[in-house]
Amino acid sequence: MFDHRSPRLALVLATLAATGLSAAPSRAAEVPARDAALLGAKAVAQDPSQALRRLPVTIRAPRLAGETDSLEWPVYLTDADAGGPVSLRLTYRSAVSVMPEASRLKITVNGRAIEPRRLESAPNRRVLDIELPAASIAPGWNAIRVAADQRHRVDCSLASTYELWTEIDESASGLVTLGGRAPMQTVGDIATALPDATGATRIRLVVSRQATAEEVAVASQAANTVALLGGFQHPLIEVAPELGAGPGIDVVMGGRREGVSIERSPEGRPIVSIGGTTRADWQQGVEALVAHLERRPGAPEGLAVLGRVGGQRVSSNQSIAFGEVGHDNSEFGGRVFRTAMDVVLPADFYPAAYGKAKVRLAGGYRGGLDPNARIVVRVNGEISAGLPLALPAGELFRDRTIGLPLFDFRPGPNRIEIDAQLPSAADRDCDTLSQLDQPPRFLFLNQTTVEFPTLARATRYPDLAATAGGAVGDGLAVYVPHPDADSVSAAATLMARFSLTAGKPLASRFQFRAPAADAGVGLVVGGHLDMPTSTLASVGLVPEAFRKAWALHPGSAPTPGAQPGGNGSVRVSQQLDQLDRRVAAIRMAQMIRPDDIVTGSITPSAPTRQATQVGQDLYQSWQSSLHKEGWLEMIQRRLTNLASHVAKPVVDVIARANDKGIAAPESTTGLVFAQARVLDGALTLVTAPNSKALSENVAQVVDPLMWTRLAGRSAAYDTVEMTLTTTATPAASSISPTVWSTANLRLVSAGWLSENPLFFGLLAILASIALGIATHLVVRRSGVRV
Amino acid sequence: MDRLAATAFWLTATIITGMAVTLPVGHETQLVLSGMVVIGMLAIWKLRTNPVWRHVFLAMATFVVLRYVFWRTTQTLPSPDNLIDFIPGVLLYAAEMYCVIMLAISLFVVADPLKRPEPRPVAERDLPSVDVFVPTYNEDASLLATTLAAAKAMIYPADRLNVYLLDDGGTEQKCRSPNPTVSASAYARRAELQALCRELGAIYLTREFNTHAKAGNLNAGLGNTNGELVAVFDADHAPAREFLMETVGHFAEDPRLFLVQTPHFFLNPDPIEKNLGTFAKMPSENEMFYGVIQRGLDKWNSAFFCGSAALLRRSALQEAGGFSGISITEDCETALDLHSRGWNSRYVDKPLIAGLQPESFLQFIGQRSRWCQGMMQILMMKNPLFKSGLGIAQRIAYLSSMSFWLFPLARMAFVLAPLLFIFFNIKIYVANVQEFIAYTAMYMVVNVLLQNYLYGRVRWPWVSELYEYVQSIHLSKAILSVVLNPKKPTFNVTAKGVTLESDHLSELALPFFIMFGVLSAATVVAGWRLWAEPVDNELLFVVGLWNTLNLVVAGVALGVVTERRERRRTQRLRIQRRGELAIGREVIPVLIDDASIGGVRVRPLDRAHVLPRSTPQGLANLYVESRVPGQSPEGIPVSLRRVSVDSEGQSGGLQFLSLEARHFKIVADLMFGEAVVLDRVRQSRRTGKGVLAGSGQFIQWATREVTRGIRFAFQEVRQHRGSEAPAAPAPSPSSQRPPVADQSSAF
Repeated sequence: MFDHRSPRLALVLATLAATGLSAAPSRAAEVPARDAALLGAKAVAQDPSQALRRLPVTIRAPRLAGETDSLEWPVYLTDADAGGPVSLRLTYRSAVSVMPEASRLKITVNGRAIEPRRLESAPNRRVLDIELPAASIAPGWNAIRVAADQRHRVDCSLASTYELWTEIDESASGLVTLGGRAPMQTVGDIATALPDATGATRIRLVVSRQATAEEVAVASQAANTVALLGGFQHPLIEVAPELGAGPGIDVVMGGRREGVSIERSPEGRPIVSIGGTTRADWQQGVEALVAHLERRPGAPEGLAVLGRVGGQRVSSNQSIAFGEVGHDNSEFGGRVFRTAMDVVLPADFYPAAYGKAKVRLAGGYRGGLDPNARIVVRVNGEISAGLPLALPAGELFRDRTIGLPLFDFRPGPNRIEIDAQLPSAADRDCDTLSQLDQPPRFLFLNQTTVEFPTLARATRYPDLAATAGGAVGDGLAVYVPHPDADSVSAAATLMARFSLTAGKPLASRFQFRAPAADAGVGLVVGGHLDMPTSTLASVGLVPEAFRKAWALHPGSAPTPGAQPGGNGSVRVSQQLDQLDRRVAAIRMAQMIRPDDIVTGSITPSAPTRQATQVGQDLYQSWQSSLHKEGWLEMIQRRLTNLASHVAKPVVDVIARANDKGIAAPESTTGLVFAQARVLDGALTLVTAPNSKALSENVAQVVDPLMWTRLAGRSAAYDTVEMTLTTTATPAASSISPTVWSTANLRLVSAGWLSENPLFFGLLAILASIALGIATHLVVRRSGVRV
Repeated sequence: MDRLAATAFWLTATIITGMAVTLPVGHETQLVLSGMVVIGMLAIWKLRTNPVWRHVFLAMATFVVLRYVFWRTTQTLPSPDNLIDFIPGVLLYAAEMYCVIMLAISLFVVADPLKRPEPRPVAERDLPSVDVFVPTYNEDASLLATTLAAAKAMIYPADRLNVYLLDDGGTEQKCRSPNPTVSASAYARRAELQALCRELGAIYLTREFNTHAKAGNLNAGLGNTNGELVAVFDADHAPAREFLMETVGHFAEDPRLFLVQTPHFFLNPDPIEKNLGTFAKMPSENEMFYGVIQRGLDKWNSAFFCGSAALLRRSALQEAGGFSGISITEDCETALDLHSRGWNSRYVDKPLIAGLQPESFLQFIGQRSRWCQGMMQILMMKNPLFKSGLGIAQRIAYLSSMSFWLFPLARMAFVLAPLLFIFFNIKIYVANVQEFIAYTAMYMVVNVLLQNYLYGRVRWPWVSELYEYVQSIHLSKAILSVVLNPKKPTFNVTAKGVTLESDHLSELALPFFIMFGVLSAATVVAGWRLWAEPVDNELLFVVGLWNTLNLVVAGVALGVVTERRERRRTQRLRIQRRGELAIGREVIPVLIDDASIGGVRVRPLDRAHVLPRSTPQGLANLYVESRVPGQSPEGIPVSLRRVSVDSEGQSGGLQFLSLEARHFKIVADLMFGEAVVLDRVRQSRRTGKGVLAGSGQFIQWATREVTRGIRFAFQEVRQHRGSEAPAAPAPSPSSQRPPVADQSSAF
């Protein structure tokens, strides 16, 4: 079906030339910095024959923070790349406070360690180039792991460890090969597509303007497959009638040649072409592509890292050791030890308080630590549990258990972070150089495991977290009432995102109309004016409120008929980096509400990729502990604490009973998700002021960090603050168990009753009344009766 | 609805409850859930009195308790990796589970306490013959006189009532003892008691050898008598006149009845009541047993023989070989044997005897350790679970009565557990503070509510904990000695029989002071750790509170072991009898409005007569109007002690002087003539005390008693160091029972 013999290449190039693209071989000379913080830095000019197989975007920010941290990437090398000499390039910046004498970068390629390099304090960029022996790399996927040990030059407090950072410039780091000009040879070479400035990989679906909904559906599945094959963590689908330019990849539906063919544009942009005139042909092509997901080339470590690039998949009764996700044993001499594990829970995982995940810690700590030394475990950024490291003589543990309530997890990706805070008396003297000779304070063995108990399998409706976590099946009905390029692109992007979380390319049924009243499970995507008000109302939104809030936004450009592409030059907006987008949003907001914007709030807030939260908690807790409280104060405080433990659940219960429903959107809201229960699932609706805003904001929201915040009954994305505000799922929402066994039903009911304690209380009282009456009847009929 | 259907309904309800109890939910949900159930319980308590709601209340309490048990078992045990934490953790868990099982069994026992109606009256010609046994060993003649006189005065045809004094102090063995002192006193005793019996119309019996203590004595009595029914009264348990009328009828109703047991009612305080000063206001300790538990046991045909205040059927006793036993509590053992042979028992909840209980802490512990060891012996050697012939309900009921006596071990575990955490940081309980509040605290709240609901009228809050703690230290040793040697437990509290005229520390006080010291130290250490450790160690705070609770109980216990001087103050019974006080030649008609063993209080019946200030010795006599018409009243020599005026007029306190045998009949008649008098007293003390009020009261006791105890401890230490030998006090003549009509006692 597809063909990788080079003589064909000339034909393809000729075809491309015929479509008007420049044949001059040039790679994008400028690779703009991805992160706003690196604005102004230019990429190093490269030898055209060299290609940088850059580090891909992952779900983590490319930042090594704190005294110890590590990152890993799967990097794809074509056969040609692997045939020639390969070197590793690392472009980084690090904080001023980093002490070079004590700080190291430890790099591992496919499991082989490279001699650790001194980590310089480099406010400006530094570039490391390291030759790699041929045996250490393989064609296909390779694993690159960078770990940093950083120490502060002058400050010994715990809080100062948060000033240590090293940022890796992913766009300028990776494996440098000589295969730059080589044409695409295997389907896997799709992974060589470059992401744009914001880190998104743009997959352009080239379909004709007159494509039908069914054809768009097949194209969408093709896009999903391409996203998975390429290992892209932030795919953006664009739908357009012509090929694109710049970083990204084109997927052409209905190419001249039969089957699947792959080629590279003159500027190096990969093009996947699925030939055939009928939908059936296209379907066959897609299936051929899907087959490639099974046979991926690469080094074992590389494939392992690829498999867990979105998180390690876990299921009921499974434990994962830290060693299995690439961590090593670690003897740590610094003050704050941090490690983390990303896991992906099943999409039908029901998060409620019926059990605990257990971290079985193996390791130990030396004596002499301050009494407030402790381990803090966070799940998805929130503190979940802790363990004081209180023994003055130190301790070794093989199996110390820390329980993490399952309530803190969600379906899909979760992040478990283990922080060990290890202050000691030596920190107060703060002789930073002599501290290097001290014995290590903390031992972490990579046989530490995270163990998941039996998980209840049920999907809660409405719950966007379940949807975001992968509770989307094959054959989802996708309704695009106003099928212009933007709306269809937004819908396809969402499908790609679902596929990524699910781990397989999902097929869907696109329909260019609004859903019928009794439609059932589906996804509706469109501007709020582009769909009937009954549709908006069916998910609990108030159309009037939307009209009011978004009154000043321009409506979607009109399209005659129901065709993607439409007239004129509706093109997906230019690539803008985050900062530019924000400025544009503020300008827009100022037009709408001239008075309300508070200037000075330009710096992007959440979701930043910086862990300042942890620093804040720590600082505050230190501040409060430094103030020695009196006896009475202490007793008062402890009693208040105790009282709050009693009061909080009651207050929670009352708060949830006062369910306020979905709030009206603000004028700065750029995107709204809403979900409502229907017979056998949920109807999810995604809407925006117009289709342009829809596609732009969907692009923002499918960013891996933002996507995991989607939860509850509805979510609103604010374009100025760049935050997602969610409305909680009502407590008494319905649950569908997905496994009908007694054990699962028991867990699911335990979970549901956890969420509805008043109901459980009532159940308990009724059961007691029944038992009491029964006992009375039996007792009165037994024993001595007078 | 027949029983089968009811049982099926019950099983279904149990299964549903079981499923609800074993659902794993978060601690916040647990807190809300328990809170709702507790509110439901309070609502029932305040609003509903229908018996059905009693069982609903118990079911709700059970729900919370079971949820606690589920959580405790599945979540809180330390891991076996760390043996230092694991072993104490498992022991504490075992102690807690013992308490839960005891709670379950006791809920079964008191599921439906019986209120027995009066038996059908029996025609006089059908009344059976009754032998009254009064076993004695070394009690005073004056004490025995009251009892015998009261027994003789019981309403019953005289030809069918025989009162036997079974004297183990004047046996042949004793009389022929090689020790001349022993021999002489045995002969003297025999002579004295024989004379007493002749005077009062009782029959004196003794035997050859002192074998098998009281049981052997009673069996010897059985061998020498032939009445159909046998009543047993301890030497100081004087029966009311209505005793036989209230009990004999039951034997006619049920031919398979072997026992009618009545409550033990005491006229004097036990050491705890005496030393804390609660006698008049607080219900007696045995009220919980006799007031509620025996009635519950009665429902399941498991009321057992308590050694006295009971009427038994001879033919049943003969079938079982008499009052036999291999344990030292042969009374309960006899009942167990007879129940297993298919005989029935009944309990009549009216106080029909009035007796005296040991007043010194030493004697109290001695008595309790005997009961404890005896029950343990029966549990080990004749375990009711496996004894053939008992019904299921009976097995459970006996198990409850016997395994109750394991409480010292559990109580010691609860006192020592917080110390492990506070001193050594041994984490024997894996929980954070929110779970502790949601599960353990709610469990304790429900427990307190339950205890108060079931026993509120007969037991004040925290008093059970006090009684348990006070017995735990010594009874734990007793249990250990029984376990090591079931047939012959060697632990014994030897009564040295020394009583002083002033307040002093009990001989057994030392362990309590040590314990109090340790608990105080733990409180201080807990406080210091909370202060010094900046980490929020909330669990330590909670454990510290638990320890403080133990400390309060230990504080009150210090007061218990600091003996107040024995004032021999006995309960006054309000009676309304007419009489005449003859002073010299003046005769004043009086109303005798209360009586005690030492004397009476009288009021002149009309204004014309005025009581003089005092009477010259020997010239005053009190004549009590006789019940039997035609009988001329006998006079009792009295002395006028005190005259006072109150709202009702003048009243005078009369003290009895050198009573002779015949006088005792009158005293017995005064005191025990009407059973309703006893009942009135019992009811008057059955005042419940709310949980909050009771707790406040308890804390008040603690502060008061700790200061008193420590003050006396210092005094004793000073005395010990000051003098070479301790002051030799006048030894009291009796080592087992305090003499009653002590001439020097104040009225």
